[in-house]
Amino acid sequence: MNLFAGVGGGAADGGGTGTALLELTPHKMAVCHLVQVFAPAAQAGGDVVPPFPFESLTHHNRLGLFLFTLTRSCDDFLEPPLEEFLKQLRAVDDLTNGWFCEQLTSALSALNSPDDLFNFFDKLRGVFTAPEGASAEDVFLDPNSQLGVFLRCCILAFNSMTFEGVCHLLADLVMYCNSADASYDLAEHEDFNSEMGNLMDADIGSHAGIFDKFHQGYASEHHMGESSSTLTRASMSPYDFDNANTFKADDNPTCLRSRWQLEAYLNQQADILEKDPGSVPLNLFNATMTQLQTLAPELHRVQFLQYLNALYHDDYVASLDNLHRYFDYSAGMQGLFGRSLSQVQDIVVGKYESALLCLGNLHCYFGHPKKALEAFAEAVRVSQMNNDDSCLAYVLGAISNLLSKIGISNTVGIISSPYSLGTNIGLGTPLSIQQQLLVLLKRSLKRADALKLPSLLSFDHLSLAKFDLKHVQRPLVSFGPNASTKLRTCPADVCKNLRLGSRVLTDFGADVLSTSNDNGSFSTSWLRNLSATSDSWRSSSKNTKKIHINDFDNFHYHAQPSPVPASILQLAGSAYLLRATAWEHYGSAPMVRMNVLVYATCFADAASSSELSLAYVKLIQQLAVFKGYSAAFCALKLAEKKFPSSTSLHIQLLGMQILHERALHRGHLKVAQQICDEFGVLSSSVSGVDIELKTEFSVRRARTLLAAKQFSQAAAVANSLFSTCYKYNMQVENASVLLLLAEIHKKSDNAVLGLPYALASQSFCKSFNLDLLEASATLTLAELWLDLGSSHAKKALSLVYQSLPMILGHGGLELRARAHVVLAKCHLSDLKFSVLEDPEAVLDPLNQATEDLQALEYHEMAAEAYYLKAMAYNHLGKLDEREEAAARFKDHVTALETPHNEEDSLKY
Amino acid sequence: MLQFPALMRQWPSPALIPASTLLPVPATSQEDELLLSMAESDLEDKLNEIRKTNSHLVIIGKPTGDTKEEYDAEVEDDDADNVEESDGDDFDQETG
Repeated sequence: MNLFAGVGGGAADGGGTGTALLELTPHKMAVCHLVQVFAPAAQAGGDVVPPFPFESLTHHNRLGLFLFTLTRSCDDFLEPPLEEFLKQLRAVDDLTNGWFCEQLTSALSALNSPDDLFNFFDKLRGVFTAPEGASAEDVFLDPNSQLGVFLRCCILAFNSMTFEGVCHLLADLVMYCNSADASYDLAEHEDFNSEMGNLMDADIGSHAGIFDKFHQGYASEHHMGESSSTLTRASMSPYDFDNANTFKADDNPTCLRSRWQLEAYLNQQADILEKDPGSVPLNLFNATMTQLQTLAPELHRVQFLQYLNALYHDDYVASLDNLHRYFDYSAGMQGLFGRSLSQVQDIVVGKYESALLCLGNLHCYFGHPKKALEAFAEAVRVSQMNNDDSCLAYVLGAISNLLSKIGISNTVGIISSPYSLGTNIGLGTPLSIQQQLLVLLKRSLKRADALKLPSLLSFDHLSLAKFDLKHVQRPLVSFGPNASTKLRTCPADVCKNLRLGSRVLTDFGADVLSTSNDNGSFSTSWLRNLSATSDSWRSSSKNTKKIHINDFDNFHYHAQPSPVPASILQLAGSAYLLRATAWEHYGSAPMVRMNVLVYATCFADAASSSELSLAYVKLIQQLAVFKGYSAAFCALKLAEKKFPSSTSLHIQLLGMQILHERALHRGHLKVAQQICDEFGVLSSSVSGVDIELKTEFSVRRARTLLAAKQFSQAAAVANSLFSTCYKYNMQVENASVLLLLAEIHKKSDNAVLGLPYALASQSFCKSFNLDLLEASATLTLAELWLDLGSSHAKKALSLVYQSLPMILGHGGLELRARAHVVLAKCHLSDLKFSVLEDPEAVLDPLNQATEDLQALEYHEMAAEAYYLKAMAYNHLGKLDEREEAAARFKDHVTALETPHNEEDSLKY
Repeated sequence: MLQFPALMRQWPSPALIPASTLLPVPATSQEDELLLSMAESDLEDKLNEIRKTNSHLVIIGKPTGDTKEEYDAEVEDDDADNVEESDGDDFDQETG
């Protein structure tokens, strides 16, 4: 650990006087005691291996690993209270029935005077001494090892301490032990919630007594208040941002914290901000950072964290100001943080091109594409001038990200000179924007691969997979004998890039602890899981649970978390989410579910709340499509509890989508129109430009008009939407819109007009490998042919049989019901078909259809199915079944024509 | 699912540059151990100086071995002089 880069003074300042460079705390004394248990003072020929009370070498090594993790953890910026420490120790100490915990508490409680402290630390020296006659198998601690260095630091800190400091340490130790005793009393009560108020009062009284006991001595009121507030905060706030007391200089006369601990702490806060901005209060975080900045003015990354805080809380002015401030103070001071030049880093802090890269990302976040592109173009120029290849690779990736986000067509007026971005391939002809995007992606990918930047490499592979999924690649040279190429997407390329995107995991193995990149986060994560494991054991005594412990921590039971950094895990998880989205396109429902479940199970810990909510959305969509609306709404309620609606647009959109579907199926057109208007508000330009949201709004509006039988207006909306999708090169969406137009013309009894649209949609589906949508288009074609007359019944039937394997294998309830109904209609329309000879050919699909439509509450199609059933039973002469089917038909028609309780459709 | 009718597909959007990439925290290096050794040796030197100073310091108000020996020597000298100058009768009288 970096113990000598203290903010208050470095080794150069305190070297001559021997000033303590590590603050000694009760927690560190507890760790020292455990080190002594792990490696007791050896006696010549007297001890056995392993020493008492360890039963096996595995048991011994487990404690050793725990101690190693404690000394490595960067979370000790806020040292845990004794209760937390005992939880972690109990998770490790499961063989000696809590012997370690008892030994620890009794040893610490026995220290009542400065002489006891002196004897404690004097005894620690014996851990290092190898007595004469010691054999090679005796256990003694290497002074230069991780634990040895920690122990030497503590001994040095104690020996350098003044008498007043010793007294302060003694008082802190008493508080440390007593807070654990009070916590034990709290934990022993069965019903924790009902006794909360009384226990808190008793707790305050207990601490008041402690204060009275020491008020004439060296204990101060502040220490008591700090302990009490620690208990209160531990049960209230998952993220302990109200730690203003920790930064008061009066409490730390020797030093605040080492620079390494501060930097690790700040990076942890940055990770929390990026992962779940909604859980971080804006002003409280700023107050903490401001106080830290006052105490350590030269720690400039505090300003970067203030920039991140403002950015993720949508404060444009503050984020721009903090970003400028950060780079104004730190840019150009290359040796500011004292880093070794031999270290290979992705981006060196303090360069102008890094500032431009951050500025471009800021504008990209706030929806300013022109300003973002200007900043990125300037960053490209400065990176090339300064030979900063890493930054150049990241800037190319950022430009690709910007182009793919804001829509291709918008950039025509922005990029006035495409040559300045380095996308000129030497032919002298300007490339199209799509081709520029592809060239930028490939160049960024090549640079990231050459420079060994795993984050950017994974990101570029994902971006390339997304590009291949949406666009048909043409050769860059469009002349010559090989000009005729097949204009189709290549699913193999998509799968290859997705696999390479998550392949970065193999770059991190089990030997990560020995690499130089370990910054303590791994140890922090492991300790956190130990606490969670201990919490689950005592779930009967504690009803409250820390909400920041992930639901999937059961998979980490007694196992180490992944040593891969969180940012790499996020990208590898995004590869699985993107894979699920790709299979949504290609039309494989089991593959979608499998990839989302892999993501939710294996990557939920590292995932940002936005992407984790997206995984939930995809699973709930599967429920809505394959199980019906009741199951989907139950899952949606759970998801809304887990993700507050203020921070998850995905969940909000999904709720509106399912409500709209159900309202359309129930025939509640006023409610459907109302939800449609809410979509319009979300997709308006006031809240930023999102072309996919606009597309969704137009589709839903057209379908609402179609359900209201306003065919002309529906066709007008769909035609306008098709023009927009064509303009923005949204070819996948074009396939859906064309099918919507075919559906509108079919419903308005214009089958001749609908046929070209259905055929065009089918052609798009073939080009983009949209197999399930192609089956839908084939089914619509069958319906259109059937509407042209019974002479085309056989042709329609062959089309239905052609699409049935895909639809029955991967289609949803609605699509399967439609297929069954169309199949029955084909048979009934066939003049050569006789219901008397083969009644099951008609009744089986109709029975299946009515079952599916029951779950979807689809009155219109259910009425059609029951009508056909009544007709079939009439042919068969079964009057009772016919009357029953006719009654159901009447029920559905009545529900469709006279909707009642429409406001129920707004709830779930 | 991309079928007709379709629920809108939503795309994952991973972060391009997380803060941990932009602001890396350096790992602990071996220089810390050297600094620790230097600090320990500094403290040891300081303690040695204290011990050396203590060995030469005269503390006022407390008796030392040397002073006591000198005092005893003076007493012996006085006794010797008295024995040579005084008569036997005087000595006997004092004893009795």
